Amino acid sequence: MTDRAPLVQSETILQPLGRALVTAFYAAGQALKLYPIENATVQKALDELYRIIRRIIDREGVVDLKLVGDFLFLNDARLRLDLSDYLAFSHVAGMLNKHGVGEIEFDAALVREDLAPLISLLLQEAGPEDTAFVRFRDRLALSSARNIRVEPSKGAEIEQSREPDDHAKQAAKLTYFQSVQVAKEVLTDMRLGKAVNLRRVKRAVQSIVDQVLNNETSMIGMTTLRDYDQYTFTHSVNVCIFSVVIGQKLGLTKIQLYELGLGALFHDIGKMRIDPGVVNKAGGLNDEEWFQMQQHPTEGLLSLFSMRGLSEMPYRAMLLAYEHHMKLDQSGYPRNKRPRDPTLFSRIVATADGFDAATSKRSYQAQPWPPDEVMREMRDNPKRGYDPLLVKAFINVTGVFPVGTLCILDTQELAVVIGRNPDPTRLHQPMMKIIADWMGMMLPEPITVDLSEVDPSTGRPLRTILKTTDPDRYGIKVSDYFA
Amino acid sequence: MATESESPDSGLDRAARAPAPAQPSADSFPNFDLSLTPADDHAGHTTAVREITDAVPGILDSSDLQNLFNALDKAVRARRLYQANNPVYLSFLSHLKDAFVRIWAQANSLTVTVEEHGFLWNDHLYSVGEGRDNLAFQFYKDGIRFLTFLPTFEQEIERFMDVVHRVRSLDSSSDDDMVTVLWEKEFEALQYSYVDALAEGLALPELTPVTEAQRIDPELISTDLSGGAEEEQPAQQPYSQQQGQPPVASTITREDFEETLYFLEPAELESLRKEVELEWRRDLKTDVLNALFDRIEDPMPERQTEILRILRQLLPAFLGRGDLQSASRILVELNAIVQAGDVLGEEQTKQAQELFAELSDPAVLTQLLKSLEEGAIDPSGGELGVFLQHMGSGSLALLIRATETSGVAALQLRLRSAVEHLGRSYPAKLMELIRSDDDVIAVGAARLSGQMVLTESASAIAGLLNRRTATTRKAAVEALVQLRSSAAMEGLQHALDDDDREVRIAAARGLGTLHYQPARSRLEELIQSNRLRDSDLTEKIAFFEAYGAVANAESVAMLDRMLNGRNLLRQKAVPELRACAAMALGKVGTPASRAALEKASDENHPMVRNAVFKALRQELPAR
Repeated sequence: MTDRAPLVQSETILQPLGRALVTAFYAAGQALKLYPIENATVQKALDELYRIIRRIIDREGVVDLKLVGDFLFLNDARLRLDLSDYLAFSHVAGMLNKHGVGEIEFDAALVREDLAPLISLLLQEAGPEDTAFVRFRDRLALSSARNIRVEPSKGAEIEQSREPDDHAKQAAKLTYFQSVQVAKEVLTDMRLGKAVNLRRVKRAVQSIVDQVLNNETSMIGMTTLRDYDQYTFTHSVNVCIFSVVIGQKLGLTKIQLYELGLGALFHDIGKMRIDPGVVNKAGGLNDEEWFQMQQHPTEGLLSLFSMRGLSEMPYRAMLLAYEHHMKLDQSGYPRNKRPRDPTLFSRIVATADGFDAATSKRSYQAQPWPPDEVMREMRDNPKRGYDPLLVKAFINVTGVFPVGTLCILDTQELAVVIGRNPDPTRLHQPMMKIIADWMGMMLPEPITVDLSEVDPSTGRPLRTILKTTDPDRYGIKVSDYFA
Repeated sequence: MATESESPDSGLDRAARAPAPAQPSADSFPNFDLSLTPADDHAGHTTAVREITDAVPGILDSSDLQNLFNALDKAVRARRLYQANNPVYLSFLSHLKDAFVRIWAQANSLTVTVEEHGFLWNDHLYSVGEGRDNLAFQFYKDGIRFLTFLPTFEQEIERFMDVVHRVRSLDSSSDDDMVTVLWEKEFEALQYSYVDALAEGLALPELTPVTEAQRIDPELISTDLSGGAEEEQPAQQPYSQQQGQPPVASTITREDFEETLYFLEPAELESLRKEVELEWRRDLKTDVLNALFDRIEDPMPERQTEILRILRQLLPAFLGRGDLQSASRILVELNAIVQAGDVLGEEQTKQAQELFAELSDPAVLTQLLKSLEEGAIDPSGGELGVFLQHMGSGSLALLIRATETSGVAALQLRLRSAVEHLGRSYPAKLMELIRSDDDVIAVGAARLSGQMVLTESASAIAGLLNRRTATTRKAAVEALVQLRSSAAMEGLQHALDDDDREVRIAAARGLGTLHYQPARSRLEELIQSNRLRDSDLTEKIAFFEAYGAVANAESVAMLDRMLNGRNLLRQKAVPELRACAAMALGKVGTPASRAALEKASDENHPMVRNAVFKALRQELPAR
């Protein structure tokens, strides 16, 4: 229980500076690729790059650009890319990867003339993979560039050290429970016809966006807190989180993520107007009941009109509530006569909703589906009506085995997925916490392992997932490992 | 020179490479050390935030800080009084920017504690404003406890002032507060920390403690693992397993891990970027309205009633914003649904019809017209027309009055064009309005009828020629000219004898423009009358030119006599009359009239000579 409310901090300036740095790096690289160094375009690009580096140095003392997995970090702050700069990011990451460079540090004594040799070397062909970094480092040393230090890629080792710290987990936990509380209040007030406190809703969604941007793993971990009794409210928050997570992967801006999150939070608001006996019925629905259930998207649209206190009509949220069951080919419900094209946000919410619903215990679903099976079904079965591109993006964020999946390993240990492997080619080998040993003994201090770790003598993985399984079968609350 | 790593972590130890901060003195602001583990800060709150460190190269001069807050106070007050582009306000803003720049010469960040009555720095409280205008309280009441300003904040200061100004006007029922607005603005050089009241007293779940005795039966795991494997036949195994590759898990195969399956290709990313743009450009309102119209067609009376209620709320909202397109959309769709006859229930049909009736209510229309007049909304004539065509006949009088009384010429034109649509729908009503006792409405209705060339309104308009007000009579004449029917021309002839000069002139010009031959004898009579001789030159010209436009051979002879003839005393007619006769002959355009003009080409009197030459230069189309 929190007795005094904690302080929440706004984002740092490193984000915009970091993105500017990457963009300038890319621009300088492109200029050098096309023109000789004395060309005005090249000089201008180098000037801009130097200006930004200097600005960061003046503020921070040093510029430390790191590549870990497919993320770039500036002075330990993970840089957020969006669709307007993903090209620059992928080119810069590509250049670093090519030469096995995991880190570039510019120190305070840097001069402008140091930059051209560095970029030129990055543009050149790399050596064989096992010697690429050494070759690069040596050539840099022989060049005129000074005040620049490079380090090789460290991969999973560093990402492991970046497992969400206690503060991040605590912040995620607070945000999650605040949001569930807000969802409960809003949905209940709507059902009772009372005025809704939208400011709390806004703050909750803004917090979710911030948490996802800072550390989506912690927030995804919170979705494992699937409270059966508060399913409606936790489901709304989970869909909000998953939607924002997908949106973040697609590079939406902060404001776009907020709009998406707000709509996602309200996507099932129409269920407040459906007979609870139908919504919570155990077992299958008859025709009449199914017809009633199919009204909830329309009821959601109508509910949002009656939401008092809104300074502006939440048209986008209305459409997300209305369209989230329409399916990609509009064969879902409700059916429409007038032209309509459910756009990206509706499809994102549909994906998030489908995943969370299938992986949760429900009144009619005693046994939730394993997350990996759900992913596969969503991706491969077009009849389900999900956008395969969005499912792909979702898998890319969550991994094949999403956070919270309980697995049996080939070592007969039980382990919970706590994060995806930072190496994008190893999504099937997530980061895990071993919670029970081969004898079935629960570990008071779970051990964190990386499934991509190999036995040096055989070259084979030390551990492999044999099967995903239902935590309830073992009386395990996976959420305990994210609290 | 790039160096090898000195130790595994040395490359990451940037603090060792950054310039060492100066030791803070008693006058410098506190080193804001927020550690990663919960700790009590000096305000007594439990904090758990990321570490930020202020590099303080020197001592901050407190007088500069006082100047800063004084400048902030003045700028905030100026913003309340003036618009954002006002030079006085901009001048205060400039001083504030300078004040920040002076701070950055001494420090590379400034962190203040937000208290109820001011901003606290180094144990000194700086107030900005008092009472309701206390700036610190605006931040404090929404939970903000610390503000950190960074270099280049002065470039964001206009946006900051806009935020402060906006938040000041919010009340407790608003959906925004300082925190939500600051979040949206994404300041680069301003950080803030706030106490999130949502979290107070929140129940967080406790961990399930794991005791040493807790154990899972290994049999359970074995059963779990063997659960489906025994039934699985080799032929049913995934392809990869048939090829001898080991399975990774019972439901997933190696094929699933092709990188390309999980990575977004550049083309896919580009396609997604376009989708995001589409989403942002999406006409949300239209899609929402389409949803409402689709659903109102479901045979569910209660829902139909609810949707009608929503549409009834949306209409004034759209009108208030000048969005007549959306308002019209509602009316067009609803009209079609009502006309279909079998979509809405009986009660709901009645409700829809009531909605249309309400729209024609004078109060509603008056609001709309006022908004148009004041320029609060600015729809095009087309949008206005489409909207107004759904008004009932009862709204015609009000709209006509608006077209007549509007002080904005552009609006008058748009209204006239828009009201015409309505007039065409209700011609009987229009004619009724021509007979209105209210001269403004009668005139407007007459003008509209003329514009529409509603020939059956001629007698009603002619009736206006008996009105007392000359402007009404003149408007009637103008409308009759537009009608061009014989009934209208009859009316015009009556107007030639009107008491008012303007009316007479308008009637004469009208008849001349229309070349109404039957009016010749009356015009001939008038141009020879004493009344015309006593009238001013403008009126004379109007009548003579009208006569010229309807003249025949005899008329030419008469005009020739006027121009060139002499009386018994061998005197010519007065120059004015002769000049008018010349102008009339110019309008005739026959060889005979030309010959008559040429006879006067050596005329001495300048007025007559000018009129003759002007008439000779005219080239008239053959009649």
